[in-house]
Amino acid sequence: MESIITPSLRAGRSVISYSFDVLIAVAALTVFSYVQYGLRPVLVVLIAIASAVISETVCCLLCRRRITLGDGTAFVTGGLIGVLMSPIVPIYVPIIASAFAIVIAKMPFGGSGRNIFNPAAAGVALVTVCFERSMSAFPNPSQNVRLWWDTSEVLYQNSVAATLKSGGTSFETFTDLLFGSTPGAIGTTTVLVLVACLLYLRFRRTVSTAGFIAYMLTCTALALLFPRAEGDYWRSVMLELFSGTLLFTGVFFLNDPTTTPHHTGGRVAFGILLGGMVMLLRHFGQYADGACFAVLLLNPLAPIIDRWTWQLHRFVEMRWIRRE
Amino acid sequence: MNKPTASHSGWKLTTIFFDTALRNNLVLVQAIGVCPIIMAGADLKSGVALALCTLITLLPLSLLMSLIGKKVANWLQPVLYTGVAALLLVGTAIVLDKWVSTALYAKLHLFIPLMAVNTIVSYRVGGFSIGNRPAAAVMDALAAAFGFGLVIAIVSAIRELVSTNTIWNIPVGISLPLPEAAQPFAAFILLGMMAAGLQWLTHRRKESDDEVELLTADNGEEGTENA
Repeated sequence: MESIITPSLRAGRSVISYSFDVLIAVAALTVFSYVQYGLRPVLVVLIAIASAVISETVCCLLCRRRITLGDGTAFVTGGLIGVLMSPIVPIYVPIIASAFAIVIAKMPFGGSGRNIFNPAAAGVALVTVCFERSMSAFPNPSQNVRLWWDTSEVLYQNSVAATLKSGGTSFETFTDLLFGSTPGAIGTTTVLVLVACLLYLRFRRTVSTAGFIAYMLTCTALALLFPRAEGDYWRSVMLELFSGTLLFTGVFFLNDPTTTPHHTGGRVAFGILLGGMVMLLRHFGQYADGACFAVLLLNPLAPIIDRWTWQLHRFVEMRWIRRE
Repeated sequence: MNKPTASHSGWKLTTIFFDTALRNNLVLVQAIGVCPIIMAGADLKSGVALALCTLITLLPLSLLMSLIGKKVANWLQPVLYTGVAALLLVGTAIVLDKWVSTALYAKLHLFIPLMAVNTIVSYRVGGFSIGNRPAAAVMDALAAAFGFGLVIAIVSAIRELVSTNTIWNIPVGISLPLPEAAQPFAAFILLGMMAAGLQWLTHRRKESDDEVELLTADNGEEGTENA
């Protein structure tokens, strides 16, 4: 079987293996959500994937191009959109988000490997703006209902990030955050599974450790400097880092091979900028969690950051060689 | 295809119009004057009003600067055309408020004065009219206003249709309002799509031109071989 290799990935890595790794991580997150809420999260994720796949097929057919489903990036986009939805989101929301991601944010730029903006982040940003209420209503995890189609009997609750934003008191302990018994989107609450995904993707060489560490350190520093939660500083850091889509962004969006820098130095710079932007939007943005907006704002800078780090690298190398 | 030269002096009037209005469209190719489209171009009435404001500002200003621009010191030129533009726009704003529509003026009162320092004015008047003959300057002003008006009309009509299901405040019969279309991001997406569409058209034209050139070149070579 021929493997599709794009210049945006390191030599020898095919797009298929990247897509496959991310889909495994998405599946793990979905399974954990299934254990907690029932079948509805699985339904939401599958519908988001189906919408992305259908949109990409239709786009390819309309442009009379070879159908590019084989590289699996459409599945990844759909999967990432699916796990960023609330388990009780109306079904049309993931459909619109995935269709927007493919039709507006990916295909007009030339499809897989050429998109400037992360399609999944674009889709989520659109529905965050358009369906604010659906995107910020989460089921109470202690309610212990099995969700399927009908969601009328669910008790709504704000996410931890929204509580932080509104300045309310949150009582979540570290264990709650670790095992995901907090209100939030399908794939973002369970810190333990997210860390497992991170380690798996690191093991498969999809994640850049330097960029991730830079991102998390920036967020930690800003959470320490400007605490929003009551209690001691470390509680504020814990709530900031493990609530909302902050950690999810670090694991998935920060390591998208197409829309982030390729050099290690560039990835560190991108991570620092992204961490700063995420915390800035949390403090001053309109929404509880602006991670997808931060990703979209910084995606176009990725090639510039790459060029600058390359020039810096060349400069240092030249000086070093001359000294020898 | 002709490359734009610095003086434009040899250009025909139709070429100037075609180039400024369509091929090098102000908004879609040169990306100037984007702000009023994104912030104020959310319904067709505002869009057309802003396009008319552009015309009212650009036409006399271009004529004036092509006549006296060269006689004014370089550093004074921007002061002069921005000041005259501001005066013209104050008049326009008063006319709009008193005799046309107070509601429309209430919607646009922030954006009409801003047109005075708009890049459309500084770019077309400062960059083209000074040093060109009056007829060319007038034609360029007409073309700039037309190109800008065309884009803002299309964008604002689509946004009004989607956000409130009306066109020129007249309901069109469907009822599926998406108020988000009036937000800035929708205009950015629309402009991006239109810019890509224009590039596609230009490239197609260029390709067909190139093919013609290639064919004639081939014929020429064959001719020399035969000779």
